[in-house]
Amino acid sequence: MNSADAKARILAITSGKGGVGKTFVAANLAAALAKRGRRVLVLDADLGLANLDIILNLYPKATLHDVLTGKCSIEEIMLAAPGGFWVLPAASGLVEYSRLTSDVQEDLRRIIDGLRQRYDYLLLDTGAGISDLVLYTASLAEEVLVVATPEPASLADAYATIKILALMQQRNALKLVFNQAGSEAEARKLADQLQQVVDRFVNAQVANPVKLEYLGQIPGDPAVRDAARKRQLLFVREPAAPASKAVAALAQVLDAPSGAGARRA
Amino acid sequence: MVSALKQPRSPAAAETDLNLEDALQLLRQAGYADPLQGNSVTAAGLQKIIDALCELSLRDTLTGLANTRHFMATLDQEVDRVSRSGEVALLLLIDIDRFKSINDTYGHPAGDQALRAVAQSLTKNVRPMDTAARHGGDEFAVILPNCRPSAGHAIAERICKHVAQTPIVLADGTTLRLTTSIGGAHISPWRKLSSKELLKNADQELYRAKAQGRNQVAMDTAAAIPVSSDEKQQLFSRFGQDKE
Repeated sequence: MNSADAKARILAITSGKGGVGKTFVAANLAAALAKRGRRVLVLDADLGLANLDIILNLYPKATLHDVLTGKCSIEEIMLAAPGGFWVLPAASGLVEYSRLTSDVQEDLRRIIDGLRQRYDYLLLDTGAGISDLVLYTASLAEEVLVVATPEPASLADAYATIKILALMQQRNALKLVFNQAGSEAEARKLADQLQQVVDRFVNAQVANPVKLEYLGQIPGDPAVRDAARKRQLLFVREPAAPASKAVAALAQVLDAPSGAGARRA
Repeated sequence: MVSALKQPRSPAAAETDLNLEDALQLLRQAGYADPLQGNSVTAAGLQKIIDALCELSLRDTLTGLANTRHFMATLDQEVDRVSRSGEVALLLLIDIDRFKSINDTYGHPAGDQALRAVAQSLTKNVRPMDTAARHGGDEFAVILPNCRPSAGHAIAERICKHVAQTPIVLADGTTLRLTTSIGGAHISPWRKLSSKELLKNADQELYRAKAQGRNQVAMDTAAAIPVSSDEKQQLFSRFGQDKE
């Protein structure tokens, strides 16, 4: 399936605003990609305030914090998630990661480099906000997926994130997913709206214009909340739910043969 | 001036006595009070002399600001500190607009006066923890540790404005209005830059400030990319009518 030099596609999942379903998208997308036969690892890059383990109902005994402080190896903290993918959990309640030190930078880079050969996808689930840690995590990924909801606050934060990534990291392709969208039409319209504002205010000042790639939307679905309360992965618990189907469609778009190379340019 | 031709001292005196006259004269010339105050030399007095000399060696003679040596050492320290602390710091380069023509038209004393005036504006507008330096001919620099981008921009604007609003009066009575161009580069932990690269970035921004018409501030975009109300307005323009 993979040529000898194949390396994982590294995708950072970010949103600016918290609570828009970033971790939900990361975990369910991972399960959907795994179902397509891909080897997927999700790294909880919200190093100080992690919750990937919580939505997956995992109880990690050790986390990335233990790796970063030299107490554990990556293999010792890696957990198998329901849904057939792997997880590197992070710690919760650690203030120290609100600042990004050069040691953490180097360690994170090394960890990710070391994992590339063994997976088809590395998903980096960033924290909320546009902190240095979030920006640094994004800088380690070739592709960035921005998750937004149709709320004005989420839209504004998604836009700010896109603008910063374009201006600071010279990114000219960013992927966009709408969560809890009212309809496909609404999500498309919002994606167009974002692109127009980007064209006018961001693309005017960059050498390579930023193109947003709208991947799709996940409809608001009562099954999502039910799964979350039971700490089960929606894609596993209710694969036929509308939101699960939407995630499967996203995985298909992302995983399409043209998606890997052509769209990255 | 310190006497260049000193009396050779006898070997015996060199073994036992201190010759502090040159050092004390240097300090007197630089405006220091006599560290010994006429008393004989004690360890504490000697320490005072050494401290004062160290201080003197880090200062620019004309302006009293930090000199290039001090500035470069402080910048190296700050770069190192940022990578450990995770805080953002800021480097500003400040250049007097059309300084050469001031020198050419009004003479070097006027040029010196301009340099001192800008140095004063810097001192007045930076925070106590900041390091203001004269970095080469008519270029100044400020290192601002633990400085959020918005605060840094405000400080740079303040300096720019203060210089522009503080005319200097030359010896012949001519009133001279100075302006400065300021370039800023952020020192942020996740963008590992060396002191040299930072200086280059700040210099590029300084060049941009000059190219855009002088008497203004230009900053690199690191961590300081605000979303304007115009952007938000367009972003939400269809919201009202779309949502029901």
